[in-house]
Amino acid sequence: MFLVFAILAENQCFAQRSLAIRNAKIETVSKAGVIEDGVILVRDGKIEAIGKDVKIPLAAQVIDAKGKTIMPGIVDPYYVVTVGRDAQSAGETRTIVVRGQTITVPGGPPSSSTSFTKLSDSIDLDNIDWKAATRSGITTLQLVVSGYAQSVIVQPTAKSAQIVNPDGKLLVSVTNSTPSLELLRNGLRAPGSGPGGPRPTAGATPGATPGATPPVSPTQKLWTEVREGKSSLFVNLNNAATILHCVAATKESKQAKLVFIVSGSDLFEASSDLDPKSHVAILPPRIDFVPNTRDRINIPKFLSEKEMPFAFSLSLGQNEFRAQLDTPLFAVSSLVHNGLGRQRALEALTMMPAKLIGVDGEVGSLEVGKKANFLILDGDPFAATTSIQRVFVEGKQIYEN
Amino acid sequence: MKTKTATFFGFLIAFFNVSALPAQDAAKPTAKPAEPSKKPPTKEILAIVGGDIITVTRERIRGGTILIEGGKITAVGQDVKVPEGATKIDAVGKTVTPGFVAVDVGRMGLATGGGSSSDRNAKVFDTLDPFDRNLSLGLGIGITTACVEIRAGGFGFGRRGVSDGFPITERFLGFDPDLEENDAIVETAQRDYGPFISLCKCCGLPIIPTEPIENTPEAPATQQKSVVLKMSYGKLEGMLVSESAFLDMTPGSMSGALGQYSWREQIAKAKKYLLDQASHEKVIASGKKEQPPRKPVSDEVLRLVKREIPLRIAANTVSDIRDQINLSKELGYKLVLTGAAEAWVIPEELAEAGTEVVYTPRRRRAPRFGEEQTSGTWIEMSRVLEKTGVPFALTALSNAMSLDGIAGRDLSSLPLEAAFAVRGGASEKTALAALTITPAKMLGLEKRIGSIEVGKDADILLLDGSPLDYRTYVETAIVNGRVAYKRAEVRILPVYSK
Repeated sequence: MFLVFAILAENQCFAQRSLAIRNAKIETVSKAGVIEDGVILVRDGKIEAIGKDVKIPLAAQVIDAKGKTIMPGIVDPYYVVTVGRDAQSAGETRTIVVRGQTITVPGGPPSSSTSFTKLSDSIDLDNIDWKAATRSGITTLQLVVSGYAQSVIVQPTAKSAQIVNPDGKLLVSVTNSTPSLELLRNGLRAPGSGPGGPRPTAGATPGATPGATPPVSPTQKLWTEVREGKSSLFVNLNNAATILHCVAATKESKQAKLVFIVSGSDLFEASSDLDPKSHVAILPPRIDFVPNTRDRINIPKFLSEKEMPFAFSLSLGQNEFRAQLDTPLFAVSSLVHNGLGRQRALEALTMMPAKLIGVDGEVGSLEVGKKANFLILDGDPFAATTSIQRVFVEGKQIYEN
Repeated sequence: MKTKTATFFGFLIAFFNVSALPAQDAAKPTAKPAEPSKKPPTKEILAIVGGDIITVTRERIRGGTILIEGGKITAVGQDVKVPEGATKIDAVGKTVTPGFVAVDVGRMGLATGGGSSSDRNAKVFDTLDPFDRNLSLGLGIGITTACVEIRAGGFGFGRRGVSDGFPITERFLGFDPDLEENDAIVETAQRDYGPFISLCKCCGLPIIPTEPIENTPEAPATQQKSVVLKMSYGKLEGMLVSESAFLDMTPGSMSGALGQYSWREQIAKAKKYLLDQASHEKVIASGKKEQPPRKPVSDEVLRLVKREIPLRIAANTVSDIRDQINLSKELGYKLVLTGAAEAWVIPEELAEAGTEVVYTPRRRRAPRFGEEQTSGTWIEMSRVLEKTGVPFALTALSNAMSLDGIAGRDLSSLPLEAAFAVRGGASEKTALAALTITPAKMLGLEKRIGSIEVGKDADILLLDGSPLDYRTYVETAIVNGRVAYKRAEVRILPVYSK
């Protein structure tokens, strides 16, 4: 009964066949907890069954994962692409720099820093190098751009990436200055309650038929969702003071849920002003310094003790991210070894970011019915020497070490 | 041996305090998760107990207690009972003083880059950075309130300006340039003279290049602007106290007959505008319609005329000081002189005009040849000013809060200036007032800060010695009723026990 199959994930012939991975230690990041010697059965890109006593169909392709650990694919809630302005050919194309690589995409450059970008309209996924993401075990990511934009939720495939949700979250970058704070304040102010609400974009039709509801621009719709707490707002903050400004600016809108993208030490400094109920943090996984000192501090541990929810973005710690491909969890494991709860760390890599970007029904944990996005590791996720062996997205292998 | 042990334990305590800080903070919510949300809305009471209180405006209180509630001082005295549940701060053996007020401070507490002077709509509040380390440095020597320069003054000779959307038609220093007007001038000049480097700042004539060199960009003419900030480290609330405390002018703007003429015209216009405005309001109140009068000057000039803020201007020589005094008397505004090197020569004139002075006792200026008795600085100026009743505030040699360069020159040695004022013959009371209540009055904030009195803002320092001693450290600084600095925790100054 010793069968070894070469896995050709992209091959369509195998797509309909179920895939079984057995003898693995499974970190489900769900109520099921850790399953020793478990089996994951995958069919049509979804998890059909998971557990200790799952019957493997005869026709299934089987991977024996003895001694290996399986965990859900990592969800990166803030994968930055920077949109630069091409001075030479303004209006026709624009240059995007993705992790040091310069690429050109169609669409005019943004006219000002507060102009709105809908990323799904202006980005060419095939022109982005996804190697860093796939090698790091990132199977779902929110692609974002600095400034004022709407993100796009993407999952890597074997050769490129595909859009999971073109209508992502509203993103704003806030600095210690009036224009960016005004954008936030105006957006969160209910229309009609004050001067200068979010202006409709040029796309909105001015003359609506009588009786019909007035036209709502895409940005207004997004802001309304944020105000009503239906969708969270991703706020990129450049220093600790901006956190306070942001909290002050959003005090009125009680329902709005804010996700702060911020460095650990800034978060630590402003932590007394944060409300664990309405604020979530996305931070790079690393040991930080206590501000203005040379003392090191484990901010994620501090946050979990404060009951403040947080998610990791592997790509935010740029240098570590590049240096630690194949062992992307090294930075997180150092936090775990310094007192951060193991489960909390796993959640911050998978379930929490999935919730933040609104894909927790599909990914983020290994449960029946969810997408078969998972990683096969050659040991415990938080052991220093563990590396990623294989990365699966919707049951297809997109990377093998 | 005993002192050694004490030092060692001091270190230990300091170390544990710091290392335990995050843990303590974190422990609070985890211990009883339901508690924070149900917190009763009662205000926290802070009690500073057992200190030697220098109130500045009243008598000294030995072994007194100060109660603080809602950021204000609610009780001061020896017989004050500490209510139950109050957070106690032990001040036995400590000197308790009001926080110091610095009237001339370079850019600090503001985010770098943000709020540039070019953006008219930029709000000062939005650029506040309560995590600026300079705030801690300021608190470390006792500064709790600072008049911070948010825009350095530039030249503006003979420019036309705009203030709050109203063009200022007079050619007058100190107003923001009207860029369109400037462009028009440049265009005309280019048509008449061909390409040129720049326009002369005084006469407006173009400066023709002598060799082909690059055009340097025009520096905008700006008026110096300052705001009053509390050093409320870590808290935005209550940080911005006032957006204009002085009308700042450069001495050159009022020198010469033309300068003084323009200045008089400005004041006359402001006065006329105020009258027009009053009559306009009457007309509107009677139900008629009327165009509001055009505002011919900046808001600061109007506030100056209304005697809400003083004019702050540098004047060092006797003749410059006299010029300023005479103008202030003639035009009826409040005057604060900076520099004031030779004020000791004519203290009676200053006292009579009600002029106030900001100076640096450690600054030296040699007398002029032939005028050895009546020029230059004099160490005894502090005594002379005190005797004649000229209020003076103190400032450092440099208005920066610096960790660079020679120590002792910048604001992190501000109390040393007070010590030098005492060396020059002023009483300790006046010297301390020069760091507290006198500058508070200049800023128009004497009802809020500058002394320890019931009803005032709780800006209080706990010192380990006399405020005028160079060995003294600030142990704890309280701003708006909140501990904003602890030497043992912030560790920007050495932590050891003497």
